[in-house]
Amino acid sequence: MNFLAALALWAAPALAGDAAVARKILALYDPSQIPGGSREIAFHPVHQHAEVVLNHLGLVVQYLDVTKPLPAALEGVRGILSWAPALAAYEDARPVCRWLDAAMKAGVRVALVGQVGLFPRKSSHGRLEPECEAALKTLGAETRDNVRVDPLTVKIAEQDKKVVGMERQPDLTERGVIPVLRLAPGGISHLSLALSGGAVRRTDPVATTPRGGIALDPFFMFSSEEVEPRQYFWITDPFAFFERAFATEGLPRPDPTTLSGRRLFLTRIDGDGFFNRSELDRRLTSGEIFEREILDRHPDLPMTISLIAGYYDLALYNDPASLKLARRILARPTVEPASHAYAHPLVWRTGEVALQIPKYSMDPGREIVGSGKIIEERLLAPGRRVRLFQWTGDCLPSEGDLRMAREAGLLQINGGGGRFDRRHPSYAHLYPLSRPAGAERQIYAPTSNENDFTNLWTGPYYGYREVVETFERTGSPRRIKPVDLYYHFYSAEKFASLDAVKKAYAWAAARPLIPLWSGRYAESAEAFFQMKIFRPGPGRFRLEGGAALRTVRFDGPVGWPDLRASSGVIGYKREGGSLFVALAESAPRELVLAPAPGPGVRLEEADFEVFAWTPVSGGADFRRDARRPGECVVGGLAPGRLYRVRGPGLDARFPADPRGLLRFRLPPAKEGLSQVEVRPA
Amino acid sequence: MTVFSWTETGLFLAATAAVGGLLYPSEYTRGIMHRDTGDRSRAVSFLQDYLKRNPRHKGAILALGDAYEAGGRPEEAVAPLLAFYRHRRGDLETGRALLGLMDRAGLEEPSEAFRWELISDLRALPAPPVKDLEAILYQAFQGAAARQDDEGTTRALAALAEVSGDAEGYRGLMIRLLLERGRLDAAVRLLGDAAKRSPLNAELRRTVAHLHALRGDEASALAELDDAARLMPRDTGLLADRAELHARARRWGKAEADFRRLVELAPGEPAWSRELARCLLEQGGLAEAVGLYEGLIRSRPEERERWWNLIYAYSDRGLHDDAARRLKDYLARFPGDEEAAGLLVHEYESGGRLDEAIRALQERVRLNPQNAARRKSLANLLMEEERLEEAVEQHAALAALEPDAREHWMNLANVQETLGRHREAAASLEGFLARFPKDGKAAEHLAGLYLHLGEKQKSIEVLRRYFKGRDAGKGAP
Repeated sequence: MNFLAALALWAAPALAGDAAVARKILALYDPSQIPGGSREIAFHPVHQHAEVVLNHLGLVVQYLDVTKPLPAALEGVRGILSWAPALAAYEDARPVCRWLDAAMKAGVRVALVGQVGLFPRKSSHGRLEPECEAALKTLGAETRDNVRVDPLTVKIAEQDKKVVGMERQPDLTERGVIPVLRLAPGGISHLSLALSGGAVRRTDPVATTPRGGIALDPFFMFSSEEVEPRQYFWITDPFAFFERAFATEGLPRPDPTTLSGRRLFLTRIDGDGFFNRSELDRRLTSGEIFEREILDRHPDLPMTISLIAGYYDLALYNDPASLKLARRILARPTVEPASHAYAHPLVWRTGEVALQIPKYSMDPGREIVGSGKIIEERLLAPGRRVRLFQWTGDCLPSEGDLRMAREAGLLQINGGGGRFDRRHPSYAHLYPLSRPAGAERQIYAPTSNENDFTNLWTGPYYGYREVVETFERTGSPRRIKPVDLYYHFYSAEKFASLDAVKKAYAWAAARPLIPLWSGRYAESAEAFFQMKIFRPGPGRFRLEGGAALRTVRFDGPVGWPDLRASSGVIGYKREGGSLFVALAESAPRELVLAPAPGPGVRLEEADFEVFAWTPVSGGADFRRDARRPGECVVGGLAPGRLYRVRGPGLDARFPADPRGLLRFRLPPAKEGLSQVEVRPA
Repeated sequence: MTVFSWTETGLFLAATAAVGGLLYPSEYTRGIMHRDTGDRSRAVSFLQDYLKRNPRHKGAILALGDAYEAGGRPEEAVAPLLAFYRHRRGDLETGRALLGLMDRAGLEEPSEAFRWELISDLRALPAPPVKDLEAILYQAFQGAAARQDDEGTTRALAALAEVSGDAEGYRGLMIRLLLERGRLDAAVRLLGDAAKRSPLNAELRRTVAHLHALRGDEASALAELDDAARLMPRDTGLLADRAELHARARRWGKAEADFRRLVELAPGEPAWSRELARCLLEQGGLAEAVGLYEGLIRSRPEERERWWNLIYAYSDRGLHDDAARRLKDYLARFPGDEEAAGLLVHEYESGGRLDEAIRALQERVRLNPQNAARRKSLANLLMEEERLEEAVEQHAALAALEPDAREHWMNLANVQETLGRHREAAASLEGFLARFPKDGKAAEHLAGLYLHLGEKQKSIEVLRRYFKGRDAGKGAP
């Protein structure tokens, strides 16, 4: 069987009715074009700017090295993305073009962004090779070399403001050249430019076609190194563009930002600086100040706290008071103990570590697995386990490091992050959900920690107070990230930094969030990649796998979940133009959409994870971890009717509001997982 | 026993008090110490007290700013630093410290306002620190450009153009921006000012004129070019722009004068000769124009464009023989040029030289026998010249080339009939009806031909066939 036939055969199931909805996007890259000596994919622009958007659309990005043989099998591939840095991005573009052409003919969509990239390197005539012309033609476009323009020779003929002009308006002559793109019938131009004074009269540099899309520089993303910090702005709205190019409209999007109808709130501390003296009180360590100023003031808030295990092999830090403090902090039921490595590797690739321990050189096994064991043995109560590893330093573990964590049964997090604030006013500053490393996957921190806000802890030390801007902008108008209040113990070392952290806690406390351990988020994020979506019929989806991910989101008008026809669907909430559908804790789930809201008691929102949701005689039963107080809203009830709510420490009656929503608070109790009943009174 | 006298003891105590007073850290020093060791409140308190007595102490005010920042309250440092700066306007160190503080504190609007206050103060200094000023302005420009704040960008660029060594570069960026945003008036004003400062900058003055023209103000454009050309009479760009403006307004005489000057200045540039010839032609100066075109051909006969200028000059003025003559020369050099061959036929026809037109067309048909359009032209011309035998040949060839074209068959049959070749005409019509059996006129025509040939039975058969086919096509009611 020849190459193209094999390609068509493999791609065909992606189009068939009973196959899983294809979610994979292959991002092409040439390692020589990745900045930095390590050729690490984390520095590729797709990863740095676009993958977060694709994840938000429910898509999974897999990177494909074009210098190696391109795969014939495209099972589960929805699209191919090329973000080329130059007009001639490949040593020989012809095999890439042939492959793209065959993939498109087999139903895989293609998006070319940045530069076309497919021009031949050793040619000055400004034309594509026939194979590449053919691929472009299949995509629905023709292109030629860029043309020079000045303000007197080019103007905007048409601009689709839903797609172009998101964070920055197109500036036609800023770069002095523009790409030439002519669309075939059926293509939709989102930006059309009229030119005069040359052979080319019109170009459509941002367009979508029946087989994908093209968004070319300088109209895709703006970047300026002249300003500190480096500035990015999306000119083409990547959400709108990729949604059209990869045809994801109307599909459910697995969403790890939300649980029980509410945005996640993680608070996570890296172990650095635990032993540092604090300027708040020179007699106390940062760990002690943290306990007094943060932990004691938020006794009910779930927090994830990691320690650096290597300190406990050094006599200087192994004093009874320090051990007692660490044990006391980790013993709290609201605290999820985690490891922040053994000697705190700074550069995972080279083995450079932050903590110099005599006779020790970096050993990934001791860093990743051994460190947790030390914490368990010396600091945790018997039987209590470390389930989460928090990456350190450059947070670029190898595939082997990640495999080691997985095989040890550890969840893992950190790296990535990003900011979205006045100084970084673009979605382009946010990192995706994860970083792939071979067959493994590293779960990223949703947003940056205070180190990034304080210029690598050189000041200003109050910098982290700006994190609330990132929280706000990543929550609305799109909920693209959870709230991630993530810092180090050394923030308790200085007045300014501790004050900034406290401000962030105050911000979070005033908002309807669901506080969770970071490990739970890591589970959800992992499940994002495991969930398979099937579409057995119109408005009907079967969700298989990824049980830990308990929310799918629809953007745009898709109707309402039909709770009675669905299974494993426990509620929903509309917010900011999106529909967040709450799923039961086990897979598979079947989601059926109806044009109008139907009957059925449902979970609207809660600040705790809901288990065993069961609609019962006009009400519902469910279970929750009762060790902290809870807020809950149940929907689909009879407006104005009284309902009796019973659970540990509560037996009270509440009226449903005119929209049939019942709001109640649940007190904390000693029990763990406890039953709550909601019944008509 | 007395070791020291009362006097000695008194002197010792006095000296100790004096030395202690001298060495005891001042409030300023203690403020710095507290700032560095972490007690921000005491640092602020000491430094404030110190500043009450020494309000002009720069080190103390900067330390106070640091102390506020270290305490996480940068906003509170702004007012004292600003007050201090305003007492010492143009003090770069304090200005930069305040700007940095505002920026770190996220005070965007006050920061932007203060930046311009600082810039203004620095520029007003007797010896402005140009390098620092440029750096501050450059940051202002880049920041504004990144967020597409056009007002901020043009303001920074205008200031940069005044203080920087690369004034032209920054002015160019500003003009680009203004033009990009369609602000032609502002761009003209800006460029006009620059042109006044640099009246001998020909490119700048041409751009000013171009913008005037774009705004529809041709008078200003011409005035700009006239003035510039007066100062720089040998600048070909200025003269060319002015000539083009005149030509566009059909002021051929004035355009001619400028193009003549251009030919003198740059005799090797063909465009000027060509444009001069155009002006001459518009004024009836054919002979001189032709001379110019011929000169251009002589200098580079391999350039087709030069030939066409001359050919069209003749053709457009009805000088068909001259046009045809030069077309033949052209075709001798470029034998495959279809357009020229077609135009040659046209010139022959227009000049009444139909035999030569037919010969030329026959040659073209010979070269490309499958070209129906060309053959059709030939057939029509042959008919016009009543060379019917030859016309029959062409119509027959056309019917073979395009058998679905009714006109070819009918033309063929008609010419054959005109020549009295009735049997051949009948055969042609049979061929036609085989393709178009429902054509009543053709059937009637063929029936008439058969009658003429005395073949009544065939005539009846043709009509029967026709009516049968027509009725079958109607279908059952």
